[in-house]
Amino acid sequence: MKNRIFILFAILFLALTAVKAPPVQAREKSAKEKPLPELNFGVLTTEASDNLSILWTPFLEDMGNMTGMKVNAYFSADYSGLIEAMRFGRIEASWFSNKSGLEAVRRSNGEVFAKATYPDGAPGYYSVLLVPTDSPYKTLDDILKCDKTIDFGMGDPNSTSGTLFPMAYIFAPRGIVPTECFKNVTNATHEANGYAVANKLVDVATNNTTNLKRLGRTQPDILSRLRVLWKSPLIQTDPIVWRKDLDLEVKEKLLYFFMTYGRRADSPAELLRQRKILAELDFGAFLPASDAHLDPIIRLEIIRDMAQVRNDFSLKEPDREAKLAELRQKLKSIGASEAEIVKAEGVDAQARKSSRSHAMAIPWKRMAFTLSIGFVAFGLFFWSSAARGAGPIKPIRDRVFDSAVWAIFLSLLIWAYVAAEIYKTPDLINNADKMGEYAAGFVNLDWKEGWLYLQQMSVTIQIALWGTFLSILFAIPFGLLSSRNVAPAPVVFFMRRIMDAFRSINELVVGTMFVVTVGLGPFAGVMALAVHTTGVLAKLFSEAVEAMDPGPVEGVRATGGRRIHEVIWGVIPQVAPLWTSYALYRFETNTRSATILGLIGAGGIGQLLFEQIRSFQYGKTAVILIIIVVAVTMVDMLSQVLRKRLM
Amino acid sequence: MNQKSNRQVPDANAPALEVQKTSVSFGKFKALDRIDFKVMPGEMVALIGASGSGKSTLLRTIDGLQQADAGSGRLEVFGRKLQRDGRLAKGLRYRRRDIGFIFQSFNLVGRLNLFSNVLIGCLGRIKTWRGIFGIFPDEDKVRAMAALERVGVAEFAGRRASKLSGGQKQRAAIARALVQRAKMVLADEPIASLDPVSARKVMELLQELNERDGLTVVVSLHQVDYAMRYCQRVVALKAGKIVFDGPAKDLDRKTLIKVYGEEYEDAFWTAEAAE
Repeated sequence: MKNRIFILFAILFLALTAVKAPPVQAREKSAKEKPLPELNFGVLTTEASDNLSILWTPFLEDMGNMTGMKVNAYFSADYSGLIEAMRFGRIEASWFSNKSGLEAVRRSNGEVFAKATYPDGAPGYYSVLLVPTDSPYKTLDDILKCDKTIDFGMGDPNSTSGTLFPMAYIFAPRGIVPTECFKNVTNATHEANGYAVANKLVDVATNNTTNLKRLGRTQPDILSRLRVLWKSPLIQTDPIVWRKDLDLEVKEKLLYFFMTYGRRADSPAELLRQRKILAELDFGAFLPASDAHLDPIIRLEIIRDMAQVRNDFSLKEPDREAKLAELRQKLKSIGASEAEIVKAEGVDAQARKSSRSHAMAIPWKRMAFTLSIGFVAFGLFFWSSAARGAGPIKPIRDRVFDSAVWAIFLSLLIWAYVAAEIYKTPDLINNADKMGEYAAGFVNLDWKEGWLYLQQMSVTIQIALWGTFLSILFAIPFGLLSSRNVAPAPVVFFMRRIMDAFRSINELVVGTMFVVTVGLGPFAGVMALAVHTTGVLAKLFSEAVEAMDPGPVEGVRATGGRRIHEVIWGVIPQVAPLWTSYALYRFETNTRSATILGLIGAGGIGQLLFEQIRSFQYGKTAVILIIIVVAVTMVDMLSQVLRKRLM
Repeated sequence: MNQKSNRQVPDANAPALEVQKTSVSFGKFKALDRIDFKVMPGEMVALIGASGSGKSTLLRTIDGLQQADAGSGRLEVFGRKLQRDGRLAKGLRYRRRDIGFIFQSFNLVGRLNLFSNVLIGCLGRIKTWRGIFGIFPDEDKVRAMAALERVGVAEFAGRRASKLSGGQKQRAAIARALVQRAKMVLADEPIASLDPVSARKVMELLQELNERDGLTVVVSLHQVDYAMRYCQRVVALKAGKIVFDGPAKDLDRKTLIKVYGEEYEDAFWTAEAAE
C-alpha cells in the first residue's frame, strides 16, 4: 500500500517538474537574466467602449510580449478603487481619466508619461449638457433660473466631463450650488444619464461627446431623442500614469512600448494589426506627456475654488482676500496668463450679486403636519381600542402603549413619504410604455460570449463560497460572544456593537477598503462578503443561542465540565441545525451580492454585467441576467433541500 | 430499612453535605430562608413540600447552579467548600464532579445519541482538550456502555436522546451520573414528568445506587407516598424554611397539614397511603 502511494507521488512529481522545467535553451538564457518582472496595469472601465476587458486583452498581451514583463490586468469601474490601488502599490501603471489621473498624481505618487489620442486624430473630447429633443429649455439661462423645478443628472463625482467641467464652467462662476438650484440632483454614470434624459426621467444631465458617439453606434434611436444644450471647451484625452518610484528599467521599457506601438513594427501586417487593436479601443497612437498634461484640470479646480470662496458668505472679508490671493498665486504658478486670472475674477464679481441664504431650511410645516396626524391617529386608535360590550377590559396602560406604537408607525410613514419620493408612484403607470421599450432591448439575446459568462458566473459562486465560509468561521466565536446567556454583559455589548458596524457597512465599501491591501480582484470581494456576512451571521447565531433550552447546558455544567465544554456539548448541538440553515441562507444571499461586487473590480459575472449595461449591450446584458437568475435559483434550491433535511 | 454496613465513605467524619444559614432570594421573594441542613454519607433523603417551597432552589444551590444571597451562610460537600457568604468557591467544577444531578426535564442534549450524552458525564475528569474534540478515553467508553446496560437502556445507545421516552431519558441521565463517578446524587423531582411505571423504575434505580453503591442521595419529590416508601429520612420545606426533618415513619397527618395545608391529600399518589 505504502509503495503504491510512493510511486503515485513519484509520478506526480515527475509530471510536475516536466511541466515546470523550461527547455534547456530557454533555461540557459533565463539563468543570466533576472526573473520575469511583473507589471500590474489598471484599466478604468467607466468611460470606455463595449466589452472592455475583452478588447484590452490583446493590447495588454502585446505589452507583455514587447516589454518582456508579465502584465497582469486590473479592471475597475470605480475611480477611487483604482486610485487607492495605485497608492498602495497594487498597480504600477494605469489608464485614467483626467480627473482621476490628477487624483492619482496627488494621492498615489503617480506621474503622467503618455496620453491617448483618438483614431481620427482628434485632440480631445467635450463635456455636454443634454436635454430631450422637445425640451422647452434652449439656453443655459433657461435651466439656471434656480426655481427648484428642474431635475438635474450629474456625473460621477470624480468624472471630468460629468462633474468637473460642468461645475467649473457653469455653476462655480455663477456662484450656483446645484443642490440648492435644482429640485433634485442625482449622480450617475454617463450611460444612465443619457438614458434618463432620453426617457425624460431627468430634465437635464451631463455627458460627453465620446459617449454620444458610442451611443450613436449602438443605440441610434436613443441618441435621436437627445439634444445638446451646452458644449464645454475641449477636454484633453486621457493620461496614462505610472508610479514615480517605478524601476527605471521598467519605465524605459514601458515608455518605449507606448511610443512605438502602432507606429513601428517589423512588418506592415504587424503594424496594421496593432493599429486595429488600438482602433478597437477607440485610440490612435500614444503621445508623450508629463504631469503638465493635467494643468488645465488643475486650473479649472482653482477657478472653481475661487468662485466658491467669493460666494462663501460665512467667510469674513480679510479671510476671503487671503484665500483668494493664495489661489491667485497658485494659478500663476501653473502658468495661467493675467488675462485668464482677470477673466476668472470678472465672472466672480458678477456672481456675487446673487446673495442667497445658505442656512438649511427646517421644514416646520411638514413636521407640524406629521405631528398633528400622529396625534389624531393616536386618538383614533385609543378610542377604537376601548372595550365595548362583553369581554375583558384592556388595561389603560396597554391601550396607551399600543396606540402610541401604531401612531408613531403611521407618522414615520408620512414623514418618509416625501424623502422616499412615494408621490412618484403614478409615474410607474404613466411611463409604463417606456419601460416596455427599454425591456424590448433585452429581447435580442446575444449568446456569443455565453461560455465566458458561465465561467465568470462560476467565479462569482466561488467568491460567495469562500466569503460565506470565512464568515462562518468568524461568526461562531463572535456569535457566541454576543449571546447574553453565554458571555458576560460587557463582552456582549462590545461584540454586538462591532457586529453592528460589520453589518451596517455595505459590501461595496468594505471591498474598496480591501482593494488597498489585496488589490483589485476576487479576493477583495471574498473579504468584503466575509466581513459583512460575519456581522449578519453573528447576530443570527447569537439569536439562536439565546433562544435555546438552558437545560442541556446545565446538564453539562453539573458534570463538572468547563465553560468551553458547556458550549461545545450543550450549546452547539442544540443550535447546529439553525446555524447551518442560516449559513446556507447567507450563501444564497452572497451569491446575489457577489454579482454586485463586480462594480469595484472584484471580478466575476458582475463586472461583465456592468460593462454591458454601460455600453448599452442589452442583448448581452439579458443573457448575463438569465445566467445569474438560473445560477442563483439553483443555489437557492440546493440549499433549500439541505436546509429541509436539517430541520 | 435494610442498610448495608460496608459503604465506601470518603471521609467518615465529615458530613456528605452541610448547609448553614443559607438564603436565596429572587427579588423580594425569599426562596430559601436561612436553611440549616445536614446529610451524612450514605443517607437517602427525600425533600417534600408544596410548589414554590424551595425544594428545587435548595438542590440547585447545593450544586452551585444557583448562587446564595450575598453574605449568607456556607455550603460544604464532603468537607469541601462550594459556596460561602454567597460567593461560589474557586474550583467549583472540581467539587461538582462528585455530585450527580438529575433534572426533572432530564437535560440531555437532544440531538446527541444516548451514548454521547452519557459520555458527557466524564467531562469533569478527562483532559480539557479531550473534552473539546470529543476524544474520550476507551476506559470511559466502556464505563458508559456498562452504565447504559445497568440502567437498562443499552439497546438505545445509538439513538438520539430526543427520540426516546421520558423514562428512558431519565435512566440515561442516571447513567450519566454513574459515568461521572459521583459520590452523591441530587435529584430534582426526577419522576414528576414520568408515568407511574417509569417513575417506580427510576426510584428503584436511585435506591439501588444508595444501597449497593453507597451513594448519598437527596431527592425532591411531589408525591409523599414515594418519599415514604423509598427514603429513610424526609425533610419538609415550607416557604423556604424546614418545617419537618425526621424519619419517614414519623410523618403524620398533623405534619402533612402543616406542610401542604388542608388539601394535603392531593400530594399523594394513592390517597389512603396517608393514614
